[in-house]
Amino acid sequence: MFRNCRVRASLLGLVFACGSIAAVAQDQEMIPLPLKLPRPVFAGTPKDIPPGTTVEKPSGKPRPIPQVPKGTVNLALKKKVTASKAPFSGSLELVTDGNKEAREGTALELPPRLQWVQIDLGESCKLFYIVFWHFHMEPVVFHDVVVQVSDDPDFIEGVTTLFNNDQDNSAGLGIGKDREYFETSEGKLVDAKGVKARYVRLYSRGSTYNDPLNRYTEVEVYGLPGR
Amino acid sequence: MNRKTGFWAALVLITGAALFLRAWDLGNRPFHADESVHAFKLWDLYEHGRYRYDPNEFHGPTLYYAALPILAAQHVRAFGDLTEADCRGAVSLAGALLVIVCGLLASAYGRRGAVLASAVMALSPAFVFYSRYFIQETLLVLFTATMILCWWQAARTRCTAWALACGGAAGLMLATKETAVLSLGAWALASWLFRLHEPGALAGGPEPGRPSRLREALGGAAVALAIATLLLTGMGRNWAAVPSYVASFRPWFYRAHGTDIHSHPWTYYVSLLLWHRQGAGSPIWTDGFTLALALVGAVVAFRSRDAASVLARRLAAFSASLLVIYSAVPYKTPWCVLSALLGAVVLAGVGAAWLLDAQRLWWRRATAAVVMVAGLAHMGWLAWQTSFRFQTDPRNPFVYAQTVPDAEEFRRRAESLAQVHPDGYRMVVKVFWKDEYYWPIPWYLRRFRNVGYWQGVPQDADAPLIFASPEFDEELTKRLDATHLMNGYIGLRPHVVAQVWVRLDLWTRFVESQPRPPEPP
Repeated sequence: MFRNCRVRASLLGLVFACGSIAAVAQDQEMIPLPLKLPRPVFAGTPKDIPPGTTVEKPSGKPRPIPQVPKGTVNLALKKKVTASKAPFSGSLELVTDGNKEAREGTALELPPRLQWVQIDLGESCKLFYIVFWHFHMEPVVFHDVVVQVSDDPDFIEGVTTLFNNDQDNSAGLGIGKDREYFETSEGKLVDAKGVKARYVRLYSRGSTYNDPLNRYTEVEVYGLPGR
Repeated sequence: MNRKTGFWAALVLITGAALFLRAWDLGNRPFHADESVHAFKLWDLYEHGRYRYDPNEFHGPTLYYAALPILAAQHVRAFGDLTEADCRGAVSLAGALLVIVCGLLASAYGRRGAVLASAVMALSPAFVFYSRYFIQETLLVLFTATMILCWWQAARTRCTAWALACGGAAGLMLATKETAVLSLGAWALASWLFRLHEPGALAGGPEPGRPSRLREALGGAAVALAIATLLLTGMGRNWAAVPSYVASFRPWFYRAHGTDIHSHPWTYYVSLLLWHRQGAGSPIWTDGFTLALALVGAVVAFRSRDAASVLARRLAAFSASLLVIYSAVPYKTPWCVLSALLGAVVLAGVGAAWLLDAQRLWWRRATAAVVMVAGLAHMGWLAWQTSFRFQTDPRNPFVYAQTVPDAEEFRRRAESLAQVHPDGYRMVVKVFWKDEYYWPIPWYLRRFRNVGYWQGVPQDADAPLIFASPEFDEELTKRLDATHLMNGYIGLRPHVVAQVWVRLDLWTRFVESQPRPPEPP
């Protein structure tokens, strides 16, 4: 009698567990990242490696599209942007206006040396991927690219660094282990690993282009809107 | 000042100028891969007295023996203290000696021809450039010119000592580089072609009381073999070098078919000498002035019936046949053109002297003099551009698979990391390369005691510092990503770079040892 009761209880538990897994699976239905790439303006991959960089060799193949939970959207679209300095040219709105084509007038230009742009998502959200295009008219390499997220608008507390290729810590944000990369129409895709944050900040310190400016064509932050 | 004193004064001045062009700022170009290999062999000879002939690569030992006195004079105590300039010093001296020998060769046509031939040699862009290069070619040409000079003196004076000296020079040629057989063959061919035309005393039999020509020839050959054997065997320490030297022609024969990266079309040397321009902002490289004067010199030699014309004819045939031989062989490197250019330089002196002497009208003579001065000035300017402005620029046709100036970064990067590594210069450094062409990286790491080289990535890839071909990027990322960071690229040759992988803890220590970074904005 006692044994039958235990068996029945185990069966009930198993049924309950299976139900829970199914419910979670339904919640976590995965879809391809809803990312639309801009048109490329140059073909092929650069032959020579720019001196003084840690640039990774382009694969020459399209980047695989990652899977994200259903409901993931670009949370940064039309959101408020601030920056470390007043623009050299262009406006801050260009960073989140949805126009990521490599054309004149689509990129914000910030002064030389280390600068950042910051996007306020409006509320703390679960983030999966951040994609950004500095300047993809030419295969240039931007230096000291650091991507951080936080719920603190001043990025003093609760800061999570998602990407950092500042190996010599010249930005003072810690030694970065990531590699530099060529700017292409694919942009740079950074895995946010589901971290929750309201603010996204991107640093850079000029590039291999023929001037020392910092450029931001578009930043897209993919995640689930906060509830 | 009489004419003889004037001649010697001019020769001394020209040689001084030649020495300046050849010895000034000898470290202004990074070591070519071949130079760095020779530096290692030189050090082995200097430190341990060891030389071992290798039939597959590296040629003979005269380059190392020639460099020994400079190292001894400099009191170089450690390999790490050896510099590019220390190694190249002997070659630059050989280049200056070549100017004197050229002058003496052309002296058969009078002092003016000798001075002009010396001037052409002193200012020749190719000869200046490769006299600043720690490879065998300039020595080979010096010994070739010496052999021809001694032959000329032997033929002219019938003195046995000159015949033996001729053999000695031939022995030095053989002990310098295997291609000496091509030069000796070309000289034999030229001698055979023009032996029937030797006029006057040169065609006569032995004078009474003088040794026969056969005895002189045999004596010269014996001296040649003795000297070559002595040097190739490392002063009698390695007799296996003799059969190895003979066997060396087999791999060189296969290499001559152009099976490796040095395969070039037959027009390579001709275009190198006549006209070369690559890209904007670079000069036009040409030896046209030398070749035009050499053509005049050759015509003069073939029209002349005096005894000295034999020398000039043979030089013309020697240079032409060497140019044909080297052009026919698919394997080509630009420095090989020097041997063919040697005869042209001497003939240029002959031609220039004739152009000046043959003009009866003063204004024609003045025009010829102006053309000579302008031509020599252009050569000097081009020599300066070649060796002091475009010395590492791929647009310079004499720059060949040249190490880029960035390669110095191998040393700087390794030494800066060694400063913060507990083992210092005993820190383990590993080099993974896709093939055997990782030289001259060992030259830049010569102060380090624990350096290993692999073709491919070994099982145990871990090391505080790794230099690797970018082809191994994916594999090293997989294997070392958790412990290392890819710290950048260093250029080795045009379009050839190395990746630098540094262990994270070492890199962190290094960054922390640097001045504090500014606060973020």
